[in-house]
Amino acid sequence: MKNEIKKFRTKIGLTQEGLADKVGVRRETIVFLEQGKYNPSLKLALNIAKELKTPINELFFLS
Amino acid sequence: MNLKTYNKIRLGIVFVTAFMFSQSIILHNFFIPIMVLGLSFLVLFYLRKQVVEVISDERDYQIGGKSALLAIQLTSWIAVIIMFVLYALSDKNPFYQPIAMTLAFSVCVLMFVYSIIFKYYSKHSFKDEKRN
Repeated sequence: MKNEIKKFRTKIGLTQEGLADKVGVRRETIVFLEQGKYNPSLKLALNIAKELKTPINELFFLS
Repeated sequence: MNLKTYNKIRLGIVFVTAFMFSQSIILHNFFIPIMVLGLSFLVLFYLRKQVVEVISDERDYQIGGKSALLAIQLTSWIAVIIMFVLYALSDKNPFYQPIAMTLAFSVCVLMFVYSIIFKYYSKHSFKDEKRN
């Protein structure tokens, strides 16, 4: 699974730490997510999509 | 309190606990480690509540689950191998037999507890609202 978290995060000027705080995870988890080394739970994916104000299907997709 | 300070204090408590354990062995006082363990648990529990940052998240729990499973499998295999070796050598030294028996029963208990917990989580819904 691939994602565009970094693209949408930088677009709204949010740091990794800021996003991590908003969705309730550690910064390392955001780093691994952006590198495509970790697949989030549905709950986390929905929370990230909500914080980045982006539809989930634009944020996460199968490679 | 931030996460760095918490981790530093936790490391300090681990050192103190290890030191107290070694002292209790030297002094033959086995009441000290129980007291120290209880006190450390309470202090860490209190400090954990003071940390405003996220200490662990779903990724940590996922890694923890996989690590625990692998640790159980490895421990069981090692214990079983040692048990067979000790049984094989029990003719030469009869003291090996109770050690082998203890190992065998320990593995059985570990597997039994693992099965019960696994069954519990597979039957009941697993909500992690407290974690996030």
